[in-house]
Amino acid sequence: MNDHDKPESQTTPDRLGLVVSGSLAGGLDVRLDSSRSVEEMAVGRYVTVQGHRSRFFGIITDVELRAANRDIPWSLPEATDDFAREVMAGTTTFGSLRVVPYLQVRATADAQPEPAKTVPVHFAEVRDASQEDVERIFGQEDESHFIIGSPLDMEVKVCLNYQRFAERSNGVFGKSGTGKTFLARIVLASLIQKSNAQREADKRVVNLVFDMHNEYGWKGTREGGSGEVKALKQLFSASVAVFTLDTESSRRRQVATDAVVEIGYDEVEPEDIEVLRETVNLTDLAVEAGYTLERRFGRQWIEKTLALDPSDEEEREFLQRESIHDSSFRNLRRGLRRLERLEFLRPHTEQNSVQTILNYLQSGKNVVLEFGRHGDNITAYVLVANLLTRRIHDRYRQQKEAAMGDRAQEPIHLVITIEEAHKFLNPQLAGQTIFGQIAREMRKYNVTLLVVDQRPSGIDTEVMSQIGTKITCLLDSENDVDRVLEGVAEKRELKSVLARLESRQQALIFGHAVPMPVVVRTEEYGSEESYGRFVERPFRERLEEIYSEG
Amino acid sequence: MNSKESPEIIGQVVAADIASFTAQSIELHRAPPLGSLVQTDGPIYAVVCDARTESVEGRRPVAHLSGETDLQSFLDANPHLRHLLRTTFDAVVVGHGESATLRHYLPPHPAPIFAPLRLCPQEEVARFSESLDFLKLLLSAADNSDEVAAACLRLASAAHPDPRAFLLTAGKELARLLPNEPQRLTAILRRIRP
Repeated sequence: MNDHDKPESQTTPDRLGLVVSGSLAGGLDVRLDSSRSVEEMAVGRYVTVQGHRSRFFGIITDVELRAANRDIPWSLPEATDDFAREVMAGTTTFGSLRVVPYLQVRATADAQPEPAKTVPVHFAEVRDASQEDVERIFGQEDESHFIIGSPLDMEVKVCLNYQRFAERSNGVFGKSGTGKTFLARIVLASLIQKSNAQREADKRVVNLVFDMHNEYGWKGTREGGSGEVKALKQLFSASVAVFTLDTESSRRRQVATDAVVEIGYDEVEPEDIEVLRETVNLTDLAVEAGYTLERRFGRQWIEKTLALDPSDEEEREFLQRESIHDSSFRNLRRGLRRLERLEFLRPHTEQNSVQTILNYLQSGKNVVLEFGRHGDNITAYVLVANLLTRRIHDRYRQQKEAAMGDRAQEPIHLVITIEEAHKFLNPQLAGQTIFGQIAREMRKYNVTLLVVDQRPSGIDTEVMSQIGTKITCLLDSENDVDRVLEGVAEKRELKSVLARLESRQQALIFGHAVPMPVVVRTEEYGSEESYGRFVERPFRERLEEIYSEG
Repeated sequence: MNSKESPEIIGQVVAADIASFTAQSIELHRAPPLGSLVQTDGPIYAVVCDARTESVEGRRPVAHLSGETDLQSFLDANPHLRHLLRTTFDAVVVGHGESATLRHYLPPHPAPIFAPLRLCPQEEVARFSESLDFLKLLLSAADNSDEVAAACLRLASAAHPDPRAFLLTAGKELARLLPNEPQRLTAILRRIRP
């Protein structure tokens, strides 16, 4: 009897099969033992391969029905009885797996997983990865690792490395309804929790969330749409502040807000208008006209532009003098009129929203800016997010430069969360908006992004390539999938994994913060128990003390 | 093997080469069943692949029923016929014993002429068929090798505690031996299907 067909009693129950061919670039071909059915397999599952000198960790990326001889299955129409099928399974016909090896661990006791640089020998045994294997790769939850979910068919938790996650810009992608917001909320809560647990100031981060649909501040909608879940402020009341652009909406939703953000026309610069080119249909010449008018009128340029009347002889002459074509002017004015309808824009405000937000951030408080009703107005969202971020980034740059390498003087690391990121980071705008700049300069000025988006194909390639860790739920457009996986070595293999994610609560995570790609069932969120995970530890310990005394 | 426990002798080798032998049955019409495992002292193991009863002189007997209605009473009425007829059977050699070890390949010498033959008892069949390497010898032997192999496996399965599991394992071995002959494989599988 051959080794590859030992009866089950002689092989371990978790054995799947043997490596029969393959390459590092293309993945390993694994012949399934006849006792294992292809129907038990699933792409995205973890396996280990025991080579001679190293143990390899890989992911199943394809499952295939094979025959020893290509024509045999076709010449056996009558081989339909159970006995014949059973006999042929694993001999004449067999299942095979495609496994991409990602990591290898050498045989020494203290060896750490490192990227696989070779493949295991012929007939190396392939097994299901055990809980210990997964823990060994992804680490256990501690100060520098936070839980994101569990691998498919496993109880063990997958952790992301907090430091590595925070030091680059990251993305959460997925078509609508797949749980992006839900995932982003878990990520943000985990970032806040881990940041609070850090002793060294330069390892802490603060978040600024541009909360389009009021999901992150006080409460959010439960996944699936029925009921509510606690959001960041309820979990971390001491370290989260909720700002609003729409007091009425916040009042209606009974959200206690820490501050109201209002923006004066005199704070809006032509650069802020430029990014609205697409959303309010501005021509290049109209944008150009904006710059000209600002030079002419100074900070009051919007108000004065809106007051200009081109039917007036004198004013027409003025425009001609400034070489602004009538149609460009009308185009610009139409665009500005749309801003006029935004209630949070005032001719002038006494408060300095940027400074308020900065003060909070620098005292280590996370800021969630709720858009209220304006969330559905993409113009408002792009305008505000871009305007505030530009100013804040500017201040960060000044502070960082002033610190001149003195870590203690540097501003606290800031993570800015934006939704509908393709509106800011599309190829036309990525070169101009502050977000494109932040994504490209990595953490040069201690600012990184968390982009949440459903249409990654709309995001500029260069920006995408700077995104460190990608958390990707199901995407249904080919273009989106291609863009997310661009530049990944095992693109073809991961594509098949990504295409088969369930439409809810499953995500493929790969990049900087994980040693190898992983498909997770996302962590449960919404029950008291799940909130308990985020309760700040000292507080929890204090509670326990109180109860034990009582 | 202790002769006291040895099963009854069923025949005697009358012609032999390395890969097969022919034996004469002790009793007329009592050749061992097709596919059964027999052994000479030595031992050499073989699988019965053919059997026949014919005239000792080589001529074809002439039929002459004289009122008897069944074979037994006909033979009783003509006792001389038992001496004019003989039953012989052919067997494919599938292994041999070397001290206590079973070898599932051809022996170094053919079975000696006149060597007594015994039918292997069930436990011996089970022991011998633990390895299925002998199937290769069986499949490449006689003209009707597929029938012989099927018969052999059916009989051997009864000697195993889980006949289905045995037949399944044997079926897989056949599938490996006949990778390019699916029709032949399925024909055998149909014959051994439990």
